[in-house]
Amino acid sequence: MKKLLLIVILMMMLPLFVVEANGVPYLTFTYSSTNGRFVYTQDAYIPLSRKQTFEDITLDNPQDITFDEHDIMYIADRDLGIILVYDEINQTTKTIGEGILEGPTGVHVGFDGHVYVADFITKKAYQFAPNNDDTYNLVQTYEKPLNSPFFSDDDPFDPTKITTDNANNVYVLLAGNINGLAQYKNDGTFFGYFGGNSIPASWQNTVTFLFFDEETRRNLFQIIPDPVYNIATDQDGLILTTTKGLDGYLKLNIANFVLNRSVWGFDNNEDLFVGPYETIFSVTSEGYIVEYGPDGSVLFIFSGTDTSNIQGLFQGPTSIAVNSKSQIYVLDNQTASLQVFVPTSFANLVHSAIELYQDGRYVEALEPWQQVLEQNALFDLANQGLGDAYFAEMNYEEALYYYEVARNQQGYSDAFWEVRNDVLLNSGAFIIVFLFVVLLFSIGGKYLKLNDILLKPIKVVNEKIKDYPLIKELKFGFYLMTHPVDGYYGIKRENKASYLSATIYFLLFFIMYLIFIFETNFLFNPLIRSQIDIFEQIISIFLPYLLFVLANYLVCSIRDGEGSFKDVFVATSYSLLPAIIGLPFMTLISQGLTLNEAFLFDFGMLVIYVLTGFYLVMMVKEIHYYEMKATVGNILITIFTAIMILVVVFIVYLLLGEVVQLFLDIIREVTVRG
Amino acid sequence: MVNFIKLLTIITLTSMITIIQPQVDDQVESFNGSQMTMDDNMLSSNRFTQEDDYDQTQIDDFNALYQVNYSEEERTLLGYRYSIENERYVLYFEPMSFSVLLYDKVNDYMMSSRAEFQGISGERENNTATRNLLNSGLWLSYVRKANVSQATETTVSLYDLADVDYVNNGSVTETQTPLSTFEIVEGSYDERDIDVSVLEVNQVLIATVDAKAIDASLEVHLSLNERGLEVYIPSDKIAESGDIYGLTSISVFPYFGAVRENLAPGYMLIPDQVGGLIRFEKPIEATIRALFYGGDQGLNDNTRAYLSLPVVGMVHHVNHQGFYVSVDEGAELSELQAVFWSSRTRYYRTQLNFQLRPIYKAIINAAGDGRDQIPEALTNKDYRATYTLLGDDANYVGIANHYQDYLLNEGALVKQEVSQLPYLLQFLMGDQTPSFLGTTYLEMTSAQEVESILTQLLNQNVSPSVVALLGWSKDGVIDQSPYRLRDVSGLKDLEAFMTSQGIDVLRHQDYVSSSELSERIGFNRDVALNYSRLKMSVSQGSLNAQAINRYFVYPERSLALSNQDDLSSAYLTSIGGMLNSFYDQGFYDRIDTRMIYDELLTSYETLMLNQPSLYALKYADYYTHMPIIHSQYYFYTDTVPFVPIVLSGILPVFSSELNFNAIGDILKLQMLDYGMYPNFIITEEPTQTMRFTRSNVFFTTHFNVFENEIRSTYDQFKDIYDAVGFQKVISRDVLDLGIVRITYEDQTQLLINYTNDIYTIGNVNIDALSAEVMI
Repeated sequence: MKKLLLIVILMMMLPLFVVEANGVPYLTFTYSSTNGRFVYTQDAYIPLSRKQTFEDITLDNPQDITFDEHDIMYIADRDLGIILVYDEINQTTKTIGEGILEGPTGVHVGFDGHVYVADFITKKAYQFAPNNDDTYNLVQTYEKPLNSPFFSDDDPFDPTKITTDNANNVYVLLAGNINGLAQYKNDGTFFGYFGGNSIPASWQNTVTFLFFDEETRRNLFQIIPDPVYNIATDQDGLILTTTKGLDGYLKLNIANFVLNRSVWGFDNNEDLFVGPYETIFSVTSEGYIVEYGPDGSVLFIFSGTDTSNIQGLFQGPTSIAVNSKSQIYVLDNQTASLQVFVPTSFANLVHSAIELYQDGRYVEALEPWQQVLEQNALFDLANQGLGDAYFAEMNYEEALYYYEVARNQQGYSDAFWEVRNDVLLNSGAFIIVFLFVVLLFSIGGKYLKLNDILLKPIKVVNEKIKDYPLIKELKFGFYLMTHPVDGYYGIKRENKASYLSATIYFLLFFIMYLIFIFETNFLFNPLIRSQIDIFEQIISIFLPYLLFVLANYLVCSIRDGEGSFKDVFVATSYSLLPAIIGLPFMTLISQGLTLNEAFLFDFGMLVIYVLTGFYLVMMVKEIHYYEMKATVGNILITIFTAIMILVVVFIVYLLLGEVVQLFLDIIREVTVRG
Repeated sequence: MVNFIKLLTIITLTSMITIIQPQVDDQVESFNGSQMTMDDNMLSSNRFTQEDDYDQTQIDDFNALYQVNYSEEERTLLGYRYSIENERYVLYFEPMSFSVLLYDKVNDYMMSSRAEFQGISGERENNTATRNLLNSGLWLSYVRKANVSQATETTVSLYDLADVDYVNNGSVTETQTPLSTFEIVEGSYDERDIDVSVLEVNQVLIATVDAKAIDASLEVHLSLNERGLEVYIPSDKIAESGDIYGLTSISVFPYFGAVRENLAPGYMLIPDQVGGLIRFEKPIEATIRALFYGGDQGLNDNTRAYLSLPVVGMVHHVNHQGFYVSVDEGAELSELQAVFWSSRTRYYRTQLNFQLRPIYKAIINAAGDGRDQIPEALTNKDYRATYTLLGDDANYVGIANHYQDYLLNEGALVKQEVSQLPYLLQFLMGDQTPSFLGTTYLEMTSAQEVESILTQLLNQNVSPSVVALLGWSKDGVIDQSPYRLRDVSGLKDLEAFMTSQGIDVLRHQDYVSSSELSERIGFNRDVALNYSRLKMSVSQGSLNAQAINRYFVYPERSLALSNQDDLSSAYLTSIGGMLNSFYDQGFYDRIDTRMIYDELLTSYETLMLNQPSLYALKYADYYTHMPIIHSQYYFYTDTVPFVPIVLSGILPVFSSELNFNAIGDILKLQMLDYGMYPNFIITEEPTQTMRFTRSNVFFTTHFNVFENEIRSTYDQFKDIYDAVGFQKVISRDVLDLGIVRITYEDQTQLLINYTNDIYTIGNVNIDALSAEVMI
C-alpha cells in the first residue's frame, strides 16, 4: 500500500473539533473497515518521559532495546560500545561487553535468559550468559562462516540485529544481505539462511524472468529481493521480519513460510516487537508507532515526527520494545534518548479483550468488546470480536450485523448461511404451499384462461404504445440480441434505432451500473457505499464510452468502414443490453448468496462480460462491414486512438495551464515588486 | 429392513451429536475495565506538579552567595546614575548599557537586568560580543533593506553599537571579580554611534536612544507603580532616518532576573496551554520562541506553544524571591523567547521581543519562489510591560493571583456570577453525510430529543448549566462553518424550553475558520490574504485521508457574517484562540485584527469561547476545552494549572469532552485539581449512524452509553462544588508525590490523591484516586 499522508497536527492552530481530552501531542487512529480508512480513536498510550541518562551513563547512539522476562531493560549503544542493562524498579545500571563490544547495534534476550548481541564494528555476534554475581560471561561468538558455499571471501558480513527462537537457534541479520537471516545453531555452527524476501510477482518481473537469466536479471535490471531490515521473535519463538520498502511485517513459521502478515503497514519500519498480549508493535523512521492485533489487524497508530522537541514524538527512532505492563519504550538516536509511553485505560481494556479473544473465549470476550465499542463505535477488532462472540453463542443475526460493520466477509458469509438456513427451514411449508399454488394456477390457468385475464392490462397498454417509434426502437434491442447481424444491419441501413433510443439505452446502462455498485452485497462488492463518488463514476463510464465511439468512428472513417458516427454511437449503446439486463439480476441474486456459492455470481458476471464483448465485436464488424481479422485490428487501433486522444487532451490541458500560470506569475511579480 | 437400519443409524448419530456437543460455559466472569497504572514514574513525570523539595545546601548557597546586592559605591562604579522610587521599589538606571537594578524594599532584595555572576565558574567564558549582549538591557534587531532575510536579521545591544572595550577584553577570565566583568575602558563607548539621553519627568525616566549606527531612534519610558517597573515604548517615537537599515524588533531587559545555571532553587513559569514549569536543574539544548496568543497564519508562524496569557515568570527561590513580567500593551506583536542553560549559555532567562515590523516572504510565482521582505512602515502600536517582584508569593499561584488582580482592575477579566455547578452538555444534532449526489443532512438528535434528554436528566437531578448545540443548521457541523441560518425543525421551541429551565443555550458558530466545504464562504471574497498575498488556506491532511483545505476569513467578513446572524448568545470557536495578521490593500497586524474581533465579540450577551486568549476573556461567560497539560516540550519539569488559577473564581472553565477520556479517574481528578468542570457531547442516535459523516471525529457520543456517566460525574463534581463553591485558588501545594492540596479564598481545602494508596493527613484518610474537601 502506498505510504499515506503525514499527520498534520494542528491542535493549537485549529482547536476546533480535535479530540484532545487526554493531553497527548498526537492523534490516535485505528482502522475502520466500515469506512475503509483510518478513523480517530481513544488515545491508547500516553507519553510519560524522555530519558537520556541512566545513573552515570548517558546514551550516545542507542540502536536497539529489549526486555527480559523480569522487565530488565537492555540497550545496545553503538558509540558507547556496551549493552546497558537497566533495572527500572530498583533504578540500577549494569553493562555488558565492555572491552569486547565495539559497535553493538542489536541486542536480544533469548528464551534461555542469555543476552545475544550483534556488533557491526567487530563484525561478530555474541552470546553472554549471566553469572550469579550479576556479571555476564561471553560464552559464544557467531562469525562469518569460513569455507561456506553461502559466503565468498568478498561477501560482507555486517551483523546489525540478532534474535533467537525457542530452540535457541540464533538468527543474525546482516546489513544489506538479500538472502535473509544467517541462521546458527546455539553453538555457533552456521547452517543456512532463513526468512529472506522473495522477488515481487510484478508484471515487469514476470516478463523479465521469461526472457533473461538470473545473472542478467540481477545485474541489468537489479531484480533482487529487498534485504530484511529488522527482526523480532514472538512468545512461541516464531520470527517476524520487516523490510524497508515493503508494507508492515511478516511472521514466518519454522518452515520459513509466511504464517501471517500485517493487514496494513508503513513501508519504513525501523523496528518490531511482540508485546505481552501477542500484539505486534512497530515504529517507523517517521516516528509513527503502530500496534497490530495478533491477526495483523491495525489496532492503534499514534505518535509521529518531532520538529519542536516535543515529548511523545521522534526525530530518529531506532528501536521499540514493550515490557510486561504494556509500556512502550522507544529509542531515538537523534536525541540520544529513550521515551516511555504508558497504556491508557482504553488500551488496557482492548488488551484484556484480545487476551480472551486469542484464547478462543469469545463469549467471555463479549463484555469487554462491548465496552470497547462503547468507547469507539468504529473499532474494527471489537466489531469482529462481537461478531465472533455472537456467532459462538449461535446468535447469528447479531453476528451478521457486527460482521457487516467489520466488513468481515468470511464471518458474514458463515453467519448468513446459518440465518438463510434457518429461514429456509422455517419457511419450508410456506414454500411448498406457494409452489403448489403456482402449479395449480399454471395448470388451471390453461383451462380457465387466467393468463388472458391477468395479462390483459399489459396487452392493452402494449397495443396502445406499440406504434410509437421510440417504443419500436427500444424493443429493437431485444431483436438485436437474438439476431445481431440483422440487428446491426437494421441500425445501419434501416434506421431501426435513433440517437434518442441509444441515449436511453446508455443512460439505462449507467443506472443499472450504479445500482450494481451501490446495492450488490458486500461479499461480492469491494466498494464502500459512502466512498463512491458519483462524479468519479460518471467520468469512469461516460469517458471511455465516448472515447470509444469517437475513436472507432475516426479510425473506421479512414479504414474503409461503412458506419457513420450515428451508427457507431447507436450500435455501441445497443451492445450494452446484456449488461443492462444482467447487472440488476446479479445485484438481486447477490443478496441471497454466501461465499460458498460465489462461483454462481462469478459465472453470471462472466456471462455478462462475454456477451457484452461479443456484441461490441459484432457491432464493429457489422456496422463497418469488416472481415473478422479486420475487425480485431480495428478494435485494437480504436483502443490505441482513444488512449492517444486522452494523452493529447491531457498535454494540451497541461500546456494551457502553464500558459495561464505564466500570466498569473507575471501579474503577481509586477504587483509584489510594484 | 435396510431402510429401518438406515433410519436407526441416523437417529443414533443425531443423538450422539446432540450429547457430545460442547457445553457452552454460561458462567461469564464479570469484567472490570482496567484503570491506568499510577506509579511513581507517572506521578514524577512532567504531566504532574512536583514537590518543591530543593536541597538545603542549594538554598543556603543561593541566599549567601547568589543575591544581587550592590552597595551605593558599587552602583556608582557600575554607572547607575539615575534612580526613582515609590513605596515598594527603588529603580537604579545606568543609561549607557541601558541596565537597571530593581530593589524590592518590602522583601529586601534586588534584581538586575544584566547577567550577574559572570565568571564564577572558574573557567574562561564568553567573548566580547556575547558580553555585550549579557551586559546591555536594550537590544535592537534590524535587517539591511537591500538584503532582507530571516537569516541576516541582526540583533545588537547598545554596547555592540557603542563598540565598547572591556577592561579585560575578550573572555571573562577566572581571575575577574563579578563586578569587574562589567567594567569598560573609559572613553571606549563610541557616542558617535549611539547616544542615550535621559530625562526625568514626574518620576518617569524618559530615555531617548539614538542608534546612529543603524539610523534609528526611539524612546523608552521607565516608571514605577504599585506593581513594579513599567517599561513603555511609544510607537510614535520610533523613527528611522536612513534607507539602509530597517528595524524589526526591540527587546528590553532580555537578561532581567536571569538565573545562572542551577544556582537558584526555583523555576521558570511558561503560560503554555494550562501552564508549565522548567526547574533550574540541568542544561537544556533547546529554546522556546513563541508569539503570545498563538501562531500567526498571516506570517506562516505555526508556533507550537500556545501562550494565552502574555505573562512569564521566574521564581528564584520558591516562596521567597522571584518576578514575573506581563505585557500590558502590544502583546499581540510580542514574542516570548525562553532561553535555558545549555552549551551555548549559562543562563536561564526570558526575553520579550516587540515586533516593529515582520519579515515576510514576498511570493512571486506559483512555485512559491520569492524573497524576504519587510513592510515599509514601522508599527504604529505601543508596547508596555511591567516587571513585578515577588516575595512570599514567589510561586506560580502567587503570580496567577497577582495577575488576576491586575486583570480584574483593568477590566480585562470580568467576574461571572455562578449560582450552580457549571456543567456543559453539547448536543450534536446532525451533520452532512455522503449521499447519492453530494451530501445530505443526517439528523442525530432532533430538537424534541434534546428536550427529552434534558427532561430526563433534570428528573434525575442533573442540571446542566449550559447547553451547546452543534449541527443546529442543516449545513451540518464539521468543516461547514460558518453555518447558514437553516434551523432544524423545532429549534426555537427547544431554545425557549431551555431558557425556561434556566439553562444557557448556545448555538455553535465559527466566523473565523472555514473550509472549502462551507456553503457560506466565497474563496475570492472571504478568504483572507496573508502578508505574502496568498490566500490563507491550509491543507489539513491526516491518516484518515480526509484532507481538506481550511480557510481563514478576513476579520471584516467575520464581523459582517456575525452581524448578519445577529445571535445574542453563541458558542464560538477559533475566535479568541486564533489571531492572524493579513493583507487587504495594505498590511494589517494582529492588533488590527483583534480590534475587529473586539467589535464582533461585544455584540453577544452570552458567549462560550474555545481556549480564548486574554484579549477575548472579558467577553466570555464560559471557557471551554481547557487543556490538561502544557505543549509537552520535553524539558518541562511540571504541569501547573496556571491559566485555570488566573481564571479561578472569575470564569467557569470546562474541560474537553469527557467522552474521549481514555485515562479514567485520573482525568477527573486533574479537573477537580485544576478547577475545570465537565463537558460531554451526546447524540440520541448511536454513534455508528454518523460513521460516514465528518462528525465521526466524535467516535463515541451515544446518550444511552453516557447517561450513567453524565449522572455520576455530575454527582461527583456537585459534591465538591457544594463544599468549595466557585472560588479563587490562593494556594496549591504538593504535599507528597501525587498528593495535592488546593486552598481556596475562604480557606477551604481540597485534597487530591492521585496515587493508588490511601493517604492520611491528620486524622483524615483520603482514598486512592480520590478527592476530599477539608473545611
